[in-house]
Amino acid sequence: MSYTIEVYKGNQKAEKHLGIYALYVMFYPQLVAGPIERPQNILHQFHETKVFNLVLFKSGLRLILWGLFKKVVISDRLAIYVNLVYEHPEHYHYINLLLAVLLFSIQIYCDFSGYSDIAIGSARTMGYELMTNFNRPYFAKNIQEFWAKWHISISTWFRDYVYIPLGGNRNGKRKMYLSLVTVFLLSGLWHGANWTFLAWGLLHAVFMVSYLLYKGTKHRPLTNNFLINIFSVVVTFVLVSFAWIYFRAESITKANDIIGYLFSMNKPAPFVEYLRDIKLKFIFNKFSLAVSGFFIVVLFLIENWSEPNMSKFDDRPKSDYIFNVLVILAIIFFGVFRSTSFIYFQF
Amino acid sequence: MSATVIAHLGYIIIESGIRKFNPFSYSRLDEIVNGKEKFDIVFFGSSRTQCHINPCIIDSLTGLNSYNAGKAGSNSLEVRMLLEAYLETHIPPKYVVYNIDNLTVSNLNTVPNSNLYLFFLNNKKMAQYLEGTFTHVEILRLIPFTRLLYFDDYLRNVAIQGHFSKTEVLNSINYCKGHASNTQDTIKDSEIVPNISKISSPDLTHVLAIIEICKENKIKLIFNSTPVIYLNNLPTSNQRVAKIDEVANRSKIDFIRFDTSKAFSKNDFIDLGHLNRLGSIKYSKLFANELNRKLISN
Repeated sequence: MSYTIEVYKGNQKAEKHLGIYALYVMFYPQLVAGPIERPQNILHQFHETKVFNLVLFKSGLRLILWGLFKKVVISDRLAIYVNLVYEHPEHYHYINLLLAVLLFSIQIYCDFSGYSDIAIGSARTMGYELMTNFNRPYFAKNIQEFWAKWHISISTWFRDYVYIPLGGNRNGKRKMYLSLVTVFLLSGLWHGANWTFLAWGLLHAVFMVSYLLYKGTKHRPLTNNFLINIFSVVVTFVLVSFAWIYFRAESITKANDIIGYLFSMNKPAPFVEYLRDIKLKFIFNKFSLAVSGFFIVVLFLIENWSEPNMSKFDDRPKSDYIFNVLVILAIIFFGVFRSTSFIYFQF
Repeated sequence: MSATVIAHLGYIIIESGIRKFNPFSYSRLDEIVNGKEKFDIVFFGSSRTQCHINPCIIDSLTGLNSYNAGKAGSNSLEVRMLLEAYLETHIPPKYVVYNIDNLTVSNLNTVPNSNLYLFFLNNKKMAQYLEGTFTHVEILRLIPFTRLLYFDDYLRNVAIQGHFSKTEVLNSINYCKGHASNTQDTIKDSEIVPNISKISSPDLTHVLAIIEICKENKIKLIFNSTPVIYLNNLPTSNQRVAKIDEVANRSKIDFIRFDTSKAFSKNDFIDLGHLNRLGSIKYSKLFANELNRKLISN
């Protein structure tokens, strides 16, 4: 769609070479689940003569490994617990429910950004550069910043092809808010024809409009205050995690039930707790939680230091080697290999 | 290359940790799957076999050489697998006692807790059954460190604990020829609540296969059901036992039933489904007497 629109608008010359066009449409690294590439970014790369570049090849492999690490070590491990709790939320203590809600935020990030890393890494091994799709979104200090860092290829796609044509912020605040609500509802529908995705989109629309209304007031926080920044990051994370409840739940009713159990501090009957504890002992115990916690901290430390494309390792061959070996060992020793496919494949 | 070497060493370290933590479970699985001793009677089933039947008591009262091959959490598929794996390396016993409970008639078609069997893939029958659970069983058998890909957090945790000298062995437990009793704790009154969980329709596929395997190997199969703490609150258990009763009558299999026995009080139980140490001693004695009666009458 973006190719057709860009050619129509005159921003991109129509591709006359059938093979190049076919390659653009079917480029395997990003075919299934993005990043959604614009023709301006990628088409010209297909016209360039590519020569094997060892630095790019190693960089690409590193990114693939990192994506695999995020998927099998973190995301699939967290999925075990999240799936258990979401299947029968009534069997779980409200603390378990809260943990599942928070862990799903990490799970979906690792799953989706892991896939993106594998896609970008695969393209890079061949010398092609795809756009960054995630830029540490859970460090966002507000919902607007979150959407500038999460699934960047689709958020910019909706901005350029829906929000701006609807008027953007050029036709007054009321129309701007209406356009935003439209964009988020469409974004929800993009994930599937399910009321839960619509609810998720609507929640984000409410968050975004509320934030913009607040931003427009004279009451502004001290943006360079460390504690205020931490608080903002935490609040944004909590709001996003809350919205993820609707995204993850099978139905609106189930999502509402989970929220109900959370706020009513649900405590299941002793026999149910007993059976649940036996299950958790073997499937997701304190060790699993400790391993998950450790690798989540590692994830955020590495991503905070290395930038999303992991390019800091390019000039550090020794660190690169150690990093790669450690990641491979983490995958071999701690990977969960009997789990699901990538979440975003279903979309 | 370095990652491969480290992975292989890591596998050896993890396996040794698991053996250290589970000396009992490891050695009994080793006996069931690789052992050669000739037993007259072997008990199969779930934890209600493993915790309840004491072979030392059975041996002393019946004069037979028995072994407890019950495994916690086993469904009928796993029992069938263990039986065939046992028969792969052992001379067929004269009798097999198969404990009947909810898991016997569950329609689960996967082997639960299959990771433990990663260390026993040398047994051909076992490897055959696990082809559905693990991909490339042959590679797992020949290149041990590839089994790391199937380890779960439970096994990893166990391996670490094993290396810190922790084991699964608890005090006040009886161990004997595959049997491990529970402790002597008794169930609290507050824990005696109705089991209202839904149970799926019974599936006897593997039970019928076990009957055939025993017939082919000229083994006398005996069904048994262990005591339960309450009967009236478990109508679905009654239905399941009735289904097995039907099969037993049709196939002329003796069914030694203790689920309706009045000989047990709540003081004999550690939880809703399991006897404590003294409860299992009482049960083993009563069971041995029933066994003698059945064997003499036959």
